[in-house]
Amino acid sequence: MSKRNAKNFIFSFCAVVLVLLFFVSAIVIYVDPFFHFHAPLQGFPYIVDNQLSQNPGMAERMDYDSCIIGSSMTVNFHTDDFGELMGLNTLKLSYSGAYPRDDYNILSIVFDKNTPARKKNPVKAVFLGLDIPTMTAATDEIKYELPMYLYDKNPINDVKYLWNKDVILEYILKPVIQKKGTNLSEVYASWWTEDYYNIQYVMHGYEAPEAVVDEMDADLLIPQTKENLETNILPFIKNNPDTVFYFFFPPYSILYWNNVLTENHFEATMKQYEFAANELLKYDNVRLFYFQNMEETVTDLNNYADYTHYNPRINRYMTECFADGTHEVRSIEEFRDELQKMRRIIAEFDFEELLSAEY
Amino acid sequence: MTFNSYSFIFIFLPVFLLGVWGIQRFLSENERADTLMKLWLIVMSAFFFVGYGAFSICIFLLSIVWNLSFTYILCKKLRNVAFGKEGTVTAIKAVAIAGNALLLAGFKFFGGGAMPVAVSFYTFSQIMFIAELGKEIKADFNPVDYLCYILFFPKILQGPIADYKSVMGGLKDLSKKKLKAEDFIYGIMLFSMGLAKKVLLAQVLGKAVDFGYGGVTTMSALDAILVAVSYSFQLYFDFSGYCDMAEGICRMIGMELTRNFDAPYTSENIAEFWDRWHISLTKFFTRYVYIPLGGSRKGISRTYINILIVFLVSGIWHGNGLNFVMWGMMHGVLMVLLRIFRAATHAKDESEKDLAKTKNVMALGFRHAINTALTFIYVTAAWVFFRAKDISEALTLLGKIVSIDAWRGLHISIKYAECFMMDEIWYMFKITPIPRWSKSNYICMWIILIFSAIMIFGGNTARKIAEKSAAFICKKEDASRVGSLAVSMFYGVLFVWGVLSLGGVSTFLYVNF
Repeated sequence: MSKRNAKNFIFSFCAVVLVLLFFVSAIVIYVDPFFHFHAPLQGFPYIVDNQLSQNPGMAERMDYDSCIIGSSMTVNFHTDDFGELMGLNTLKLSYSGAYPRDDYNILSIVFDKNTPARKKNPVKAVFLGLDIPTMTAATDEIKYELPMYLYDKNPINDVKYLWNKDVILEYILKPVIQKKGTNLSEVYASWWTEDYYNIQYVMHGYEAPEAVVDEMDADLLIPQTKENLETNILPFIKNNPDTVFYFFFPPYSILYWNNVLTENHFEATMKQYEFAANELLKYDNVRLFYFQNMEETVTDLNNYADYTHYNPRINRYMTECFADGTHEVRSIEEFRDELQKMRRIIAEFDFEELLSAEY
Repeated sequence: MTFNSYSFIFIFLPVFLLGVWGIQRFLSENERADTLMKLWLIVMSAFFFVGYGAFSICIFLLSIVWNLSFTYILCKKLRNVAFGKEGTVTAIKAVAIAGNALLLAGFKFFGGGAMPVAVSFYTFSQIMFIAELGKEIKADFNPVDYLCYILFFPKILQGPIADYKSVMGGLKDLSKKKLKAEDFIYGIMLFSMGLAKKVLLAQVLGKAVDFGYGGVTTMSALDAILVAVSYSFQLYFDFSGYCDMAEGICRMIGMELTRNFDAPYTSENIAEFWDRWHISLTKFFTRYVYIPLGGSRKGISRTYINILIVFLVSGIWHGNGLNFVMWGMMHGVLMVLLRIFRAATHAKDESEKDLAKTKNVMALGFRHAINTALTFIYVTAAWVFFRAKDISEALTLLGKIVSIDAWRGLHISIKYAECFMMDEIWYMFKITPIPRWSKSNYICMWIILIFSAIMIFGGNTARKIAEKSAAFICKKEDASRVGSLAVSMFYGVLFVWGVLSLGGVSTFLYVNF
C-alpha cells in the first residue's frame, strides 16, 4: 500500500471540499439574495419571489418607512402607488395564506429596533389586510413551515442558506444570466393578466361547501378572535403609537358570503367582524377600512379570479381610499351601519340564479 | 437525524469519528477500552435517535425494556435449564417475540398512520436477538452489548437488518484497531456516492414519480412506463444510497457492515433478485419465517405454500393495504413458478451447461439481457402496487401501458419531463443552443434516466467503484499524482454537490387563505 498516496488523497479531498464550500459561502455572503447578512448590492438584479425566505431579510435590511402585511389579499398592491398617493416608501411583506401568527412573525422583525432598517427609518404606517376567517386559527399556528435558519439568530444553522444549491442556482446564477431583477413594487403579484378575471373562470373553479344544518352559536368565534388579536396583532398597535395602522377588511366576492350562509355561521361571522372592529377602533393610531360592501364590485364576479381574489384595479382603488379616507370607518356605530349595508346586499342578492346558471 | 443532513455530516459524524479514533489511539491498551468503545457507540446512537421526538423515543424505550427484561429472564433460565426441559425457554422466547410482533402489528394496522421511527427495523433486530439467545448469542446477560447491537446508529433507521453476530463481530476489538487509510478512503468514497445517489438521483426521480402518481388517470402509455421505471430507479437509489452511506460510516471506523444490496436489477430471475435486494430482509424471512414453517423439507406443495406465506408476510410488513399484499403475492407467485419451472426442466443447470459448452459469449449475453429485462419489467410492475395508493390506482397505471388509446401519439407529458429539470444541467445547457429547441425539456429527462440505467444495469455498484478507486489510490505504488488528484477531485466535488443539495429553498403551493 502506498501510504503517501493515501495521505495525498485525504489531503486533496479535504482541500477540494473546503475550497469549494468556502467559495460557495463567499459568493452567497457577497450577493446575499435573501438579505440575511446585508442590504442589497447596488445594481445586482435580485430575484424576489419567495415570501418565506426573503421577507425576513427584506424586513430587516431594506430601506422603507411603511409596509404591507397580510395574505394573498395584499399581493397585488403596487407599492409605487403608496409613494404616489401617500408619499410613503412602502415594502410589501405579504405571506399568501397568512394566519395571524404569520403577521406577528413578520411584524416582530419590522418593529425590531435593532435591525438596520429601523436604525434608518421609523415605521410610519402599516397596511394590514385582516382576513376574518383566519382569526379562529390557533394563536401559534403558521400557514407554512418557516425556514427558521433565516428567522433565528443562530449563526450555525446559516449553513442551510450558505450551502444551498437552490440559492446558488436560482437566486444568484439565474439573475446573473437573465439580468432582470424583480420590480419590488409588484413583488409577489399573482394573477397578473386580465384574462384571469371573469365570471366563467371563477364559477368553473368554485366549489360550494357542504351545507350545515345547525346554525353556529353567534358567540362561538369571539373567544379565539379575541385571543388572536390580543396575542398577534394588538401588541404592535399598543407598543408603536407613532405608527399608523391601516386595517382593512378585503372585498371578497359575494361567493364568500354564499359560503358563510351555506356553512350556517352568518350571524357568528357578523358578530366576529363587529368584535374585531370594536377592538381595533379603541386605538387612536388605527384607521379602519371596510371594503366588503362595495356592492357593484363584490357582486360582479368579473372582478375576481376566484371567490375571494380581486383584480389589481381594486388594490389601486383601496390605496386611493387609504389616502383620501373613502370607506374609512371611524366608530363602532359607523361600522355597524356598514355591516347593515352588507346584510342588505347579501339579502337582496339572488344566489340561486348565480349558482344555477351555465358558465 | 438522518445521514443526509447538515447536522449529521458536519457535527455528528466528525464527533463520532474523533471519539472512535481517540479511543483507538489513546486508550487501546486500557483493559476497559472495549467497553468504553461500546458505551461511546451507545451514547452517540442515542443522540442520533433523540431528535425523532418523544413518541418514537418512548416506543423504542418500551421495546428495549421489554426485550431486555426477557433477555434477563432467558439468560437465567438458559444457564440453569436441564437437558430436555428447553420447552420453558421456547415458551418464554415465544412470548417475547409475540410482544415484538404485536408492537409492530399494532402500529401497522391500528396506529392510524402514526408509526414510530424505525420501529420495523429495530423490531426485527429484537426478534433476531431473542431467537438467537442461547444459540448463536451466548446466554450471558450483557446490557451493554445488547444496547450496542440494538441502537447501533448506522443501521437503525433503514437497516440492514444485521444479525447480532455480524454487528458485534464487526465491533469486536474495535478499540484495538488502528485506523487504516484504505478503510477510511473507501468509507469517504462510499459515503459520497451514497449521498449523491440519495440526494441527487433519488430526489429528482422522486419528484417525477410524485408528479406522475398525482395524475394517473390522464397519463399516456409512455408516461406510465416512465413513471413506473422512474420509481424502480428511485427506490433503488434512495434505499441503496442510504445503505452505502451506512457502510461508508462503518468502514471509516474500520468495521464491515452487512451488505444489503448487490446490483439487484441485474438479476436474471426473481430468486436472484431477492438474493440481491434488501439482502438482510430476505435472510430474516428465510430464517425466521420460511424455515420455521418447514422450508422445503415438507414436500413440494408445502414448500410453495411456505414461499407464498413468506411473501405475504413481507407484503404486510412493508405497508398497510391490499396493494402491499398484491406486491408481495406477485413476487411470491413468480418465485413459486420459477421453482416449478426449474423442478420440471432442470432448466437452470442444463441450459447453463449447454451454453458453457458452446462458449458462445453472444448467446450468453443475449440470454442474460433478456432474462434481466424480463425480471426488471416484472419487478417494476410489482413496484407499481407498492407505490400506488391502492390497487385501483396501480391497475389504472398498468392499464395505461396496455391501452391502445394511451399509445396514440407516443406522447410524454412535458410537465413530467420538467420534473427532471435539474438546475445544474439546465445551466450547462445555457451555453449551448439546446434551450432554443422546442424539445429541450426532454433532454434533461433522458440524460438522467439513461445515466441512472447505466448505473443500475452496468453492474458497477457504488461499492465496486469505491473498491476500485480506493485500490487505485492505496495499492498502486505508481498511481500518478495527476490520477490521484483527479480521483480526489471527483469525490470532493461529488460530496460538495451532495451537501449543496441537502436542503432546498422552502416553497409552497398556493392555497386560498
